[in-house]
Amino acid sequence: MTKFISFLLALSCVLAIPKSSIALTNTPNQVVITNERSPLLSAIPKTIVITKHESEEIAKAQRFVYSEIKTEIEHQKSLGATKLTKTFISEDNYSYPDWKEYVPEIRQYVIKGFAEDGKLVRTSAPLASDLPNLASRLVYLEQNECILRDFSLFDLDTWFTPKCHIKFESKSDYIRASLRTAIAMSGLGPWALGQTPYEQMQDCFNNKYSFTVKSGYFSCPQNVRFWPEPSSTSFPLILKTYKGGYVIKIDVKTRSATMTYYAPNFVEVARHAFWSKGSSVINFG
Amino acid sequence: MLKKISAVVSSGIFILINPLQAFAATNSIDCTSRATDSYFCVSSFGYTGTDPYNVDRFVLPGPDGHKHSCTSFAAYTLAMFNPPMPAISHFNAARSWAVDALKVGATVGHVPHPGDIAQWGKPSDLSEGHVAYVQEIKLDTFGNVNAIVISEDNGGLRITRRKTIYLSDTTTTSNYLYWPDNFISFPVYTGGGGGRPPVALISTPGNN
Repeated sequence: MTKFISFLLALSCVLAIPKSSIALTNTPNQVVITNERSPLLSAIPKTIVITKHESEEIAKAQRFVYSEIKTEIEHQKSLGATKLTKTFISEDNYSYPDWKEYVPEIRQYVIKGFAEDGKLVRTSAPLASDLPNLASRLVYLEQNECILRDFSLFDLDTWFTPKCHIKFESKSDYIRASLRTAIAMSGLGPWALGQTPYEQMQDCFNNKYSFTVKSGYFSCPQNVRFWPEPSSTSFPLILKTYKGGYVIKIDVKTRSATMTYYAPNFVEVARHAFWSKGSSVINFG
Repeated sequence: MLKKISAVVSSGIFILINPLQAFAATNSIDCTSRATDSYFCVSSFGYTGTDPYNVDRFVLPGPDGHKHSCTSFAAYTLAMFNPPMPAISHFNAARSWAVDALKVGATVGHVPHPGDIAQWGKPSDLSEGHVAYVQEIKLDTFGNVNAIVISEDNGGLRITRRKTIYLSDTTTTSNYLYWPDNFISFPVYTGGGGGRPPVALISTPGNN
């Protein structure tokens, strides 16, 4: 009896693997993106000029970060702190391998406040608070160690330790870092624009569905199983917008394709800057 | 004991008799909203692009003033059914949620529970990844997880959807119509009162 049950179970395991899944597992990648991880696609030029509109929007975002730090310092002061130290927190951020191009320091930091007698008064929460927003690192407590008192001839500490100061990097730097964040966190750039065409071609080729390439469009009606949204089973082979784009070349015979991505026109994107209320974030419409 | 043996034998016989029917379950998109009523598929949640944690702060609302994004919908369900977690306001894109969630005391695993957030992608990916709300868990006759029913918003397409995804169906590899990489169980209300139970359930073949 036990043997019979074991036999049934073994048989059911064999039957449980759908044939199509075996075929898919062994199917090579039919769509190749030639420059998917090219640094050129996300490199923000240093030549972005700030107009009055962008300047006003950036100022609002900067003020948000400033206010966070200022509030913390005032709080420390009210608790009796006379000296502050800045300690960086080790934190991985996978989204920005190129962060040195945009900010002097990517790590968050905590502010520790010390009273006159050297006793620790308070440790702040990590600053700037919004870790994924690269630009928020461009307003920060400048010194690693500073005092909250004005210079006094009779106070030796004020001779050698600087007064605490919140530093603002330039607005031009702020918008560059914000553009870099928009690429990593929102739909800006070719990755978002190219994802659906890439997946649709993979689905179509791997499932051996019939497709047409006509008038600059790729169409695969049977993809409707995975893409039921109206008119979403076809897409243009060339897409060039100021937010990025791609060019696709189809090889009908081998049922394969190559895609090449285009970077956004960052100067044009920067013209659509808007502050995201209640945050340090600049968005791009 | 006899009952268990009988269940195993009968399901084995069912497989032998009709293997196609037994394993015909395929992933499906059960509801796709139209552009004119883009929140239709999640209307039971009362969601209309609300983003209580402003987690989708990197994207502007659409021309109609409403937001569409997977993270805003996931954060909305968390705001509805789980205790407040202000740190969600500083989460990364969906691809990093499985890492970010650990900071708020969530547990991350590969077995779904009702009310979990399903998550696709990893922090090093270039695409944004995806998150969705696990509305229902379907069990097989042995009590093992067979499928999940998820509800989601989609920022790129600006529509909401409901999908059924089977653990055994590996034929789809796109449109996040495949088994998620992670299931995130966020902290829940404990003790008497204070919270609303999630609108999620576990179903077995008997109560489907």
